[in-house]
This record gives sequence, structure tokens and C-alpha cells, in this order.
Amino acid sequence: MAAESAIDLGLRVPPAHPRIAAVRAFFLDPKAAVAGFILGILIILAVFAPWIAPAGFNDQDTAASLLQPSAEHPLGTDRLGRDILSRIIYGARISLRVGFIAVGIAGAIGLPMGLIAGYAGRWPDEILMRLTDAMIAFPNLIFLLGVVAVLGPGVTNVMIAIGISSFPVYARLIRAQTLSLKERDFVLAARALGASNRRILAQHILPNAFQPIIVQASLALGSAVLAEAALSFLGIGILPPTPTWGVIIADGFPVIRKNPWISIAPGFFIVAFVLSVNLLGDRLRDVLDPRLRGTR
Amino acid sequence: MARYILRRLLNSLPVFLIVSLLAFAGQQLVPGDPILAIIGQGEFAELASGGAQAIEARRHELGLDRPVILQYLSYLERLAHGDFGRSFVTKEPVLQMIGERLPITLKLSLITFTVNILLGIALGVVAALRPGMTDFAATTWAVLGVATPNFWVAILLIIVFSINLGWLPTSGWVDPFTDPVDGIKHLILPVISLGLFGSATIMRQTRSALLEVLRQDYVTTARAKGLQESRVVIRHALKNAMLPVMTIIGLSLAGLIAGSVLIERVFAIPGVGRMAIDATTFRDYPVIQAIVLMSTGAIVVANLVTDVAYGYLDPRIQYQ
Repeated sequence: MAAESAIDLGLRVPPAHPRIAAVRAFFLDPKAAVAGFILGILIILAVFAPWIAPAGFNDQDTAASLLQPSAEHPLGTDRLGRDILSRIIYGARISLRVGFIAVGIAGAIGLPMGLIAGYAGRWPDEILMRLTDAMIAFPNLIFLLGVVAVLGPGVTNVMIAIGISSFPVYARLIRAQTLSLKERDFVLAARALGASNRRILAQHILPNAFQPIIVQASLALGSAVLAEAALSFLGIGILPPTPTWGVIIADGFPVIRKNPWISIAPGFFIVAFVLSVNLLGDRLRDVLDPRLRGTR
Repeated sequence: MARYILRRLLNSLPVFLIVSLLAFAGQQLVPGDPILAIIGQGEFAELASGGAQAIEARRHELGLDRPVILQYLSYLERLAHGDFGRSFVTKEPVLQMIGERLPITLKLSLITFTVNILLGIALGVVAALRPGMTDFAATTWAVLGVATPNFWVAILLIIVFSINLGWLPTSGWVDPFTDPVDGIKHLILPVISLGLFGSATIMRQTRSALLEVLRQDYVTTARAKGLQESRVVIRHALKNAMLPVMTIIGLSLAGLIAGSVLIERVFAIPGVGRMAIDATTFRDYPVIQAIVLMSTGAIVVANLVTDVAYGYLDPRIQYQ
């Protein structure tokens, strides 16, 4: 309205900075706005956990074992009398860290492999394609069990396992992008000017192939958090007393008759996180590639 | 057709080879002495008490002192003979252990698979013929489904239906083919938690494919001939709408295999999934390796069945 009236009065409204305009356009979609808000809260909880959580994640009080939700303990306590809300807030820290780093590991393996396969073609490409075919066809959790059986449990190993299991998608995406980009005029021009293969890949192909990777990474974040929760719930991922959302659900499972909230509450945080990154990923895809708008 | 199936199976050999190579590499990468991944901590400790010579003798007996490539080839030979080794924990042959537990996992998966398909297609048809609220509900259900851990849904169902209402058992397994009433009672919650969202995906796909087909000229012709609407939908539209649905159904099998690991843990069902968790906990490498290879086999066969089903649904598809 303000803009309209300004035009009516013949005044010029200075255009917003393109980046600010892009962010504004991104959050024009109500689903993306709500998802961004929820994700923002979860990230704040993760970053400032020691200041926000009412108690430490491992502060035990056996006299207060398995308490129902109350003003003092909004989600009750577990068998060792630990405050569940505090454990969930600290859990956000670890679950999110595992998610982000696992996605980083997948990208760090998948991007160079895809770039080389797409650019070099021939046998490197053949080998990569067969390897990713085998890995993509595979049930993810079974693969994770195999990797964890080799590496053993623990935060670092779980990150590595999830990273290894999800790199093929990145490799294939970047390979497809590289295949089409390497024939484009600007790459041919760079080659004609004598640019080295390394320079062409790093300066010309990678920056232009990055958009679908960003979208994929945002969607993969949710899957990584779900995978961590599943492994930790099974007792073979991150082990107690480290609080992750999956560990807390597993902790509460044997005592669901006494305090069901221990297992119920962390699940809502998982759903909220995965749902918000999925919705933001979809929105990102729509904004970056309008041809895909409305498709799933 | 037989030639096509044979060729497809031969084409999937590289996938098997790569997976077996990964499994073999895993065996070599297990921290500590590689012999640990084959004989396990227990036997290793026994041998160690007999001195280094006893370990070396066992290493020679297993061929672990030979070049890695030869070790891999003899590993492949053993696999080809169905020899997956013995469990470190129970000392039983792995194949026998899987054989004992596989029927349970297969029954659970097949029942869930069937329920998913029937429910997904039926609801998809209803959503296509009556758009509006059903459509909105299906979309919300599917979006939520991707974001919700199925083991958590299983816990919620136990809290509501077993603990609060007392209608269904919290855990355990009773074979539905020997004791149908008790068996079905034990199956309801696992099947719902395993299939709740798989059926949503099938439903969405059926709905969109059917809406597309219902706009085609031959459907208008069928209606113009005066055919009953049910006949138009089932005989003329649905069969042609099934092609993309088949792809989703084929893909859902991998999810079902992975999902059953979690659901068997929640409901204490003694199937292969539970065995996989125990094996991972105890680093029982031969068992994990066998499960990994067999899951690959299941996925390869599922993809093949999906491709063959395409030809049945659409005779224009030729197998060459």
C-alpha cells in the first residue's frame, strides 16, 4: 500500500538491496516463514543451550526420579532424576551438530567425486556410477548398521557413517551438472584461453553447479537427523549419557508407563526440525528453479 | 521374457560385486587385527592364550596370510556356496540363524506391504474421485510422514492403544497363520507404524496418476458408451494409472526393510531386523555382512519384479 501511494504521489521509493529483496521474497510463502521461525528457535536452543536449559543435561537427583511434568520440571524427569526439558535442549545441540557435519562430510566426499566423474568421463565415471547405483539402491539403515559395526558407536563415527551413506546423491547431482556445464560456451572459452582443468572445475563449473547442491543439502539435513535418531534409539549410535533426541526417546522407552513424556517430547522436536528443513528446502528449490514450482 | 529376466539378473551382478567388495573392505577395516572380524573376540582370546603361534596357525588356516585379492576371491567363492561364516556370539552358522528369523520378518513385511498397497490405492481412488478435504488430508499425511520417525509413531501407538486403552498387546510375536486372532492382535500396531506413511505415498501417487488418466479421450469414450462409472474407473482408468504407482511401490520395499529393523526393536519381534541390531551391538561382523548382502538381493529382485509388472500393466512396453 505504501509503495502504491508513493507512486501515486509521484515519489520514487528506493528499491531494496537485491539480497534483502531475495530473502523477503523467500519468506513470502507462509509455510517457509513458519518453517524459518521454527528452525530459528531450534538453532537458538542449540547454540545457547547452557544459558536456556533450566538444568545441566546430566544433573542427577535420584530423589526426583521419574517425576511427572510440573512447574519445576515442565516435561518431568527420567530414571536418574534428570530434567527432560534440559536434556532435550542440550540434545538439540548434538542432534543438529551431527546433522550439519554429516551433510558436510557427504558433500566433501560427493562433490569432488561427482566433479571428476562428470568432467573426466570414461572409466572414472563408469566406476562412480556403478558404486553410486549400488549404494543408492541399498536400504539406508542397513548400510548404516554395517558402517557402525565397522567403526563402532560414538558421535564422530555416527557423523562419518551418515556422511558416507549419503554422499552418492551429491556425487550424482554434481556429475549431472558438470556433464551439461562442461560443454557450455564459457567453459570452452576458458579452455581456449588455456585455463587448467583444476581452474575450470573450481572457478567455472563448481560455482555454477552449486544451486541444486544447496537444495539437496537442506533436504539431507532432515534425513541426517532422522538417521542419527534411529541409530541412537537402537542403542548403536550415540550412547548415553550424551543427550541426543534419539537417545532420550530410547531412555524413556522402558518406562513409558511411568512417564511417557520422556519418549514423546523429543519426537516433537525431531518432527519440527525435519519438517521445517524439508519445507525450507522445497521453498529453496522453488525459488532457485521456478520450473519445478509445485512439483514434488 | 525369460531372457530379459536372465539378462537383468546378470546386469545386477556388478551391484552384488560392489556390495561384496564393500563388505569385504569393511572386514579389513575393522580396528585391530583383521582376523578379529572373522573369528571374533572370543576365539581370538582363546587362541591368544595359546601364544602367537596359535594365532598365526589359525591365520594360515583361514588364508589371511595370502594377498588381499586372493582373499577376496575365496571370500566370493564362499559366498557363492552360501557360506556366510559363523556368528561370533552364538557360534551357529549365519545362514541357519537368518533362516530361523527370516520367516517372521517376511511375514511382517509382506503383510505391511499388502496393507500399504490396498489401502494406498483404495484411498488414492477415493481422493481422485472426491477432491477437497481428502486431498488436503493426504498431502498433510504424506508431508508429515517423511518427517516423522516410525519408531516414535510406534511408541505413541503403544502408549495410546496398549497402555491407556488396553486394547492391544505392547510387544511380542504370534504367528498369524497358526493363531489368527492373537496373531492379528500382535500385528496391528507394528503394521500401522511400519506402513502408515508408506501407504500415504502410494495414495498420493495413485491420486495424481488417476486424475491424469481420467482426462484422457478413451475414458470419455468409455463413459459415452454408457459404461458404469465403477467399470470406467477400475477397468479403463486405474490399470493405466498404475505404472507410476508401481515405481513407488517398488521403491517402498527398501524403506520397508529398513523400517522393520526399528519396528522389530520397538515391539520385541524376533526377526532379522532385531538380529541385525544385536549383531551391530556385539560387532558380530559375519551376521551383519550376510544381512547387508541379502538386503541387496531383496532390492535387486524387487526392482526386477517392478520392471516385469510394467509390461503386464502396459503391453506397449517390450522386453528386449
